[in-house]
Amino acid sequence: MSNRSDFQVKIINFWKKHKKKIFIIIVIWLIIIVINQILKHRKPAEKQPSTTYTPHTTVMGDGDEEVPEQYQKPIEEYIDKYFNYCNNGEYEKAYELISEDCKKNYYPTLESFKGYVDEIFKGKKKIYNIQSYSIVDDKYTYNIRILDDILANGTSESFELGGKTYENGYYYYEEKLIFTEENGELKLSIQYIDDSEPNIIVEDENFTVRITKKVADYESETYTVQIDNKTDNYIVISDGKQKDEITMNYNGREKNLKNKIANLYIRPHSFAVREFTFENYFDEGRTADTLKFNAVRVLKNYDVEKGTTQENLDEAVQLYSFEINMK
Amino acid sequence: MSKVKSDIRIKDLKWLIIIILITLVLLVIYLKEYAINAKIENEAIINTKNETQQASQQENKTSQVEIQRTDEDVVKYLSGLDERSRMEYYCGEYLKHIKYKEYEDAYNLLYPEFKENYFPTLEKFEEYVKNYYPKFFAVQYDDIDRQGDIYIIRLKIVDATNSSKDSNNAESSKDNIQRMVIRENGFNDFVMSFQVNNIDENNVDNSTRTDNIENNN
Repeated sequence: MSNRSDFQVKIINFWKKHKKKIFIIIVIWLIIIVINQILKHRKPAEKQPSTTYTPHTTVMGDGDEEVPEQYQKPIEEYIDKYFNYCNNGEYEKAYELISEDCKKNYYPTLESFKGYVDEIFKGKKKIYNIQSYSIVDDKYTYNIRILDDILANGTSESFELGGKTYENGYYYYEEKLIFTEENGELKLSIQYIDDSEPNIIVEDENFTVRITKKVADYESETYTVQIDNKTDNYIVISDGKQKDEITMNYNGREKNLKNKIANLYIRPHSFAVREFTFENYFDEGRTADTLKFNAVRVLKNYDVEKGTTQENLDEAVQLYSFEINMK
Repeated sequence: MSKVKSDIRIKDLKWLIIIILITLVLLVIYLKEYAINAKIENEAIINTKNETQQASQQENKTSQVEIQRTDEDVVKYLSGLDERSRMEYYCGEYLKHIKYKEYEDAYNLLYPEFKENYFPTLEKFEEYVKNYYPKFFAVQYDDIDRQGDIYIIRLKIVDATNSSKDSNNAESSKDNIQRMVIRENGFNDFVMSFQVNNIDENNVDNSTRTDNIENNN
């Protein structure tokens, strides 16, 4: 009995002496077991299938440039929100997502925007995909492709394109969406890059040329040009009778007008205003050097119906070319 | 002295009880985990058995011997493939079901909205498939296009019997061009749809379908 008590005392003394250590060991052991269990039951990160689809890697310019990570998700969400508003016919909400400058230049009214959306969506539910195109001057350009829900129709539906009806298949509409950051907020422009008032004024003895406005979109630049005739004669700049009547030089590359303009002639002591559009991809980085009127005709007589005739040219007061420095 | 000993015992007993309780909790956790794991393993065995039974039935039906792959094997296999090969594999899975007359399995692979639009019932799907696909066919994969995360793969369904008989007469070939649309959510996790063709036209001439445009800028 006495022995047993001693033994008990020994155990108790041992316990008393080491209980903190034992308790710590048990707690550590417990923690290890719990962590082990958690790790054991946590699913390993699933490997994602490899794909060539890299929506935030640029495909133009130097290529392989990545949109900064902090913009990737916000841009995706922005586009998704905008697209879904368009898809659901919530024009006002979609319109609110567009930058003021873009609205001012391209969609001055909600109605004009509605027309644009309806033209693309045609009242049908669409799907989209995006691809980063370029990053230039802190502008993140994305290409958006809008197409019928091909997963829902299996490319079985007929569609019209260019006046032709196709029995089945698919096609997509493409547009450039440009994102900029202003005061910590993303701004969306559709095609639109920027606009300015160059206020370039040049003149000679016959006319004065004023370039009052420039609007740049992703693939072109449009200049508003006013020409004042100072003479008693007709001045013909362009009526389709000469080759390359109006061109713009972009860093050594000569470009013709992209848009068709009405015959540009100015009656004596009168003026005319036209918009000249030249193709110029924003991310190519080319800037306009010289606007050229390659066949200026100062004529005594001019038939606006027929255009410039050989007789007009024979009797011309002056025939020359004229260049305007755009810098 | 005896009182002191008794105090020590009572105080230390508390610790012992705590440790015993912790050990018991731990034991319960372990047993629970063990029971869950055992249940999962059991279910897996049952599933495998069912799959094996289905596979053996299928083998009997088709007189073909195929090694039954587990999902893990398939995922492992697919993870080593590029995206085109994976899409071809998925098309192959669908067409294999058609070939073995497993219409419900093929139907289950289709995108829900596509089913709603074209084949609201399994019977309608079965009817279409029976009319559209030749009894014996081979598949030739053509070009592949990607629209975001959706793939469009064009393939040719070659009527094995017909082409062997009329191999010198291309005009009489009943080969069908078909587009299949696939979205892959993960390895071996996909939904698909396909170009629904007019059955009557199939029996006349399908060559015009190849003229359909794929895309346009």
